[in-house]
Amino acid sequence: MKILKFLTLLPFLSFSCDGADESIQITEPKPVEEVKYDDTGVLFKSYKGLVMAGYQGWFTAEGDGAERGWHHYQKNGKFEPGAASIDFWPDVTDYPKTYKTAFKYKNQEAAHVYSPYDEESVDLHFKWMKEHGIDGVYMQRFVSEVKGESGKRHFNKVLANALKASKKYGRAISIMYDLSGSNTADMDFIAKDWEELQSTFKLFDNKENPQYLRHNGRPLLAIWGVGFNDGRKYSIADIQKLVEKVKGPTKKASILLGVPYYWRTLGNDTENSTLLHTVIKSADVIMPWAVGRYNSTSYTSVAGTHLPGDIAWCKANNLDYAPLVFPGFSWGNLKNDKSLYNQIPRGRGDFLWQQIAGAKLSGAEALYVAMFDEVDEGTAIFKCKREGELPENADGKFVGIEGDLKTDHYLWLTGQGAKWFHGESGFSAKKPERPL
Amino acid sequence: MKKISIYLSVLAVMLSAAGCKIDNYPAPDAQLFGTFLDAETNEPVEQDIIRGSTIEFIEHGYASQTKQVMIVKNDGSYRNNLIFANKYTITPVRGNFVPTEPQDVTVAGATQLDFKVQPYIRVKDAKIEKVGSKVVATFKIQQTVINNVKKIGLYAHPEPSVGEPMRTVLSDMEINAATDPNKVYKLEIDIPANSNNLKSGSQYFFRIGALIDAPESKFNYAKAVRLTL
Amino acid sequence: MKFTRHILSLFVLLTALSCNNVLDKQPLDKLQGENLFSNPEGVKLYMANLYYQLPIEDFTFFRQGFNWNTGDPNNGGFAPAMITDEAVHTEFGDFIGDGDFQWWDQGYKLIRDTNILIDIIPTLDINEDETKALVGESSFIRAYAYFALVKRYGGVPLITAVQKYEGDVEALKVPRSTEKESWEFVMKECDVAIANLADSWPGGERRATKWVAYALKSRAALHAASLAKYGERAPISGTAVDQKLVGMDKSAAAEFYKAAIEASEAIINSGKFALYKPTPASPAEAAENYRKLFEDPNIAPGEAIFIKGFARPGSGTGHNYGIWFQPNQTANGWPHPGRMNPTLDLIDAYESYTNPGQSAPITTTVAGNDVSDYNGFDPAKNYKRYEDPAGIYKDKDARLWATAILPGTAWKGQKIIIQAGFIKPDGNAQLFGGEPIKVGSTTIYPFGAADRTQYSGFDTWGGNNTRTGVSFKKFLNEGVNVAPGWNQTVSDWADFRYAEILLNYAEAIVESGTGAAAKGAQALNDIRRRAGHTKDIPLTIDNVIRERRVELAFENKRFWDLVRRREYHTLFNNRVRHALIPVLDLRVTPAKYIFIRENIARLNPATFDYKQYYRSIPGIGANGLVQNPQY
Repeated sequence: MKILKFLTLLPFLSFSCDGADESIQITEPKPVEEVKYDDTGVLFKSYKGLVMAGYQGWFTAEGDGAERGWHHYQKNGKFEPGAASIDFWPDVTDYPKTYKTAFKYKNQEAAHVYSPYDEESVDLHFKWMKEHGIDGVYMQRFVSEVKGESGKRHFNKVLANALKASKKYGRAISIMYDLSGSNTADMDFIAKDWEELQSTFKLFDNKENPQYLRHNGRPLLAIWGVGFNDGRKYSIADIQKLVEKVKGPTKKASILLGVPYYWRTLGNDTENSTLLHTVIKSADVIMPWAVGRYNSTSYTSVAGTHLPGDIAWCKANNLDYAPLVFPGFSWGNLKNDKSLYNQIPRGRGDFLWQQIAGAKLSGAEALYVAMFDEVDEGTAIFKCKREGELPENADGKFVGIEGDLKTDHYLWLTGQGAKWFHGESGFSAKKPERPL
Repeated sequence: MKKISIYLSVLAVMLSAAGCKIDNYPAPDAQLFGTFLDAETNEPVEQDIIRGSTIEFIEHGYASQTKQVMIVKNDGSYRNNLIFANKYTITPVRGNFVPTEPQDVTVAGATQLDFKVQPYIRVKDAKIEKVGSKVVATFKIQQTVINNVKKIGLYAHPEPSVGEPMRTVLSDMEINAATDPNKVYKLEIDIPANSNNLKSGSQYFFRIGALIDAPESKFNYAKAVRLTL
Repeated sequence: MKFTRHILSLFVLLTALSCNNVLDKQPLDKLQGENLFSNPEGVKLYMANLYYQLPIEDFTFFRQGFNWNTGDPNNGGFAPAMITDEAVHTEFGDFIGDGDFQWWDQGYKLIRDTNILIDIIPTLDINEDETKALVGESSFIRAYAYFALVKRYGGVPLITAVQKYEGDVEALKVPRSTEKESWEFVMKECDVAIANLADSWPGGERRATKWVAYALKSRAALHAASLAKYGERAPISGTAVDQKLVGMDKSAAAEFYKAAIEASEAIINSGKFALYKPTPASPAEAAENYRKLFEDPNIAPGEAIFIKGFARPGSGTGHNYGIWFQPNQTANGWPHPGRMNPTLDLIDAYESYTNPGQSAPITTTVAGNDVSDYNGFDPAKNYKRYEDPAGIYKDKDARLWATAILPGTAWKGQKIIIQAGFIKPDGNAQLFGGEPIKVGSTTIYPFGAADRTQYSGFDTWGGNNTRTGVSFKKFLNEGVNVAPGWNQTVSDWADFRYAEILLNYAEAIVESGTGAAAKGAQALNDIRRRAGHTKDIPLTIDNVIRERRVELAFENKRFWDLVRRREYHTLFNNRVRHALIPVLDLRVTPAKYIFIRENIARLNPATFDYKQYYRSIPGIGANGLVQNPQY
């Protein structure tokens, strides 16, 4: 009886053995060779040591040719006193091309804005980066926008402008997909769009784009928005597949993942799923989203142990780490709530420097600055109007850079941080003073 | 009276018999031990035996997820000789080091598990000696995080497990600032002023500690020193 | 077979028993309830039971719970004050334990009983005023109950209607709300009570009024505000923290301070309340007024906003302060008196009339520079000598004299003798016992008298003699000899006093930096004036807290003050509490008293762990709630 049972089992056993052998045979003889890139002339072989900002590039102005109206300036279809999404007002003094708005200064002069759809404006931005020693930017690519024809046209134009300017000024550039508002089905679109970008712009071509950021020997692609527990319509598993697809068997690209601040402990802003850690381990760099997670008072107690904890985890998992720093936060107009003007005050750069020093002293090797040009949420470091020099805004207002600072103060301060990260000496937790 | 005692002994026999049955479960058959090590220097990280860093562990296979805890000896080592062989999720918590992640560990037989941690503070060049009628400690503070150093202290106790929570005499100083790693700090305990706790001719243990200003942090220490007063 | 039959009969018995229980509970059923509540006497009866269950921290409140005056009330007389810096027990060295100050099952029982009433109010055939009163009273009770829960556990399940079991236990499980939501709920319930309750009850009954509800809100709002402001002093971590079930954001403090100010102001501006005998002619008069206020709060209807009565000696209706805390000499036959020993730490806090606005630590030496020296007798020191052992307390705040029995002062017609030993003529100290000695023809006894019924200090026998140097007085009735048995004391408890409201007001103003600072300062100084002080001091947080410590001493406030302000772990970090021991100095003739500041004998240092700021939630396995950190 016993023997019989045993015997009946045997065929199955041998069968499954055969199966296993077969599958091994398929994959083993030709292990896929990882792609090798020619890095002759490549300007940035690693994110390490760099200080790069995020570049929204999503603004448009009426008459700029993008045909998107006052995109991201406007609110409810209007851009006029009482209707605006921006808190900070870009200082457009240096721009060759600007657009007159319905806003007026106290002296009744019309206030102007710029459009990144214009090559000249983007060129100016990269010129500033070079001037202050900021290494470069991550070009934001909003999936929800580029899915549409006009959005795609706009962002491709801004990217073309930026590629040209970054090459001209020797600034690093990389693409960052922002997945806010995406769903599971969009993952295929992203993969396709990414393929298209590579070929359209020859992103990986060391001669065409020597300024395109590389990391771990491959061009770096950033994907922002994995693991947040804010009810997104895609899952961590979707990102896992996307990462696999983007890398492909030949490991075509390195990946930076934009993750929530509490990614390591899977609490607070983070989905409680260990799959997130699996996905993170398959990436090359992570950048946790810190905007709004602390202010100048709470920074040390929040980040003091958080940063070294993150860095130790990444080191143990052979991963690079880029903490985020931001100059302050203000979104009173966007949220229609006056109490949110200057919600996280800049403190003349004290807050930004506190974070730059905090990151550096905690052992970080690269920085992500949020953001270069984000005036909706008031995190922009580029030239903005100062307090006392702002256009009027019905019963609301705009928020300015502190009146006694130059309008490029935050560019300058970020540049000082970049010097420190490049290894220059003379920097400490004490904010550097700008020579007059 | 006799009757009662007989009954009692019968009862006792019954109880013990029953007891045997209940006790037929296997005894804890494994040991878990290890040391907190400074990830950079590989030196043990000094701890407190009471109200110090804690190791939480959860045994797998039970729905309740009950957290059990182990304490750590002053020299940074810990040992649990009464643990069941099984899988555990183990997390050092509320410690004097940068928080670390839970890890899943299989405990079987004698299992060694060291924790490589980043101590908040390293007490460097520590020297404690008796100078005249005082005990004088000199040392430097190397902080590994950007938080402020909250306070530093010199602690005394008759037992070697001396520390901030276990001391009879102390001399401490609030710092509440970031520290300069090159600065030499000095703390003193006056022996006659503490005559009911520090008797001349007796031996006491002295230890230098420093506390970082981080949530739920514990003191970091140099090794305790024994002095005869 | 026989066995089965036995089991069967047992079963029948059990069923019968449970039937009885069910019958007992019938009045809670809807139909029966209508009968009960349609009758004014029935409502009164039901209400009396709810009031009885109120978590009032009175003479019967101990670490074991409330109403600790039924069954076997023997807990050694270990009062909540002994877990603070106010007092120690004569012999117990206990500090706070994980199981102490629980009030979970009892809390939800009271809430359920109150919800039964709330659910039934709309169905009652009563007039509008009666309905309002019921709505107000039941909201007050629920506010009181939730306040007691939230200050213990942080955020709790908010159950606002009677739950009905319909076969699914899971459906009955209500998760914890956040701590902030829970405090807001307490505030909201207070508001409903305030809006519905009348100024007073026609017969002057001791029931909640609009003003009692304001007083509750004043206390609860200040508690919540302090937690929000000072929570970060004692950070804790864990699931309960992540889910905000414990802890509040600092920004929440403003709204609660505002609520505390407004509720206190409503009482102050009502013109219905005043301090009892606010302008005494002398400190001695102030001391006597203050003593009488606690001997019987009913003499001060303007100050005692809410009184809980202890009507008659006996189980459930009397209490045990009168037996546990008499000095040994007036034990009146009770075997274990003298158990409340006020500490030197508290004594030091009282101001001196000679230096207003400061704590006035007792200086024992001419040099006066050694108040932190607890190393015992030092023959080299030049001690101040006193003929009258209470002389060292001269100029100390009147309330000290009314709160503690000082050595050598009179109590119940006796001179209370508290002496720790003597310094022999040869200069050697003999302390805490030993043989009597002869000096000339006089025999000198270590504890001041020959017989152990004739002194009240330092002898360890029976655990009946103070080990701090003073005995306890506040609340004790000087004119009554309490019978030596359980629950024989019937003095009443003032749960809310106008003085507390003034202090809540002053604290909320100074802590929030809002409100009328001048009125806050006046509130503070009015209380001091009543205590015989004539010089005003500025409104600062230190001044308010010191005033709270001395004015509200032993009213079971200090424990919660240390909790809500997150000061416990700082003040109780290896905390050694202190005594001021009177010693007869025989080096001089006639012999005089000197005093030594000492660590309290046989008492271990006490340390408060962060986790103790929240109590553990019982029954997690069954109720499925998230446990508080580190339990």
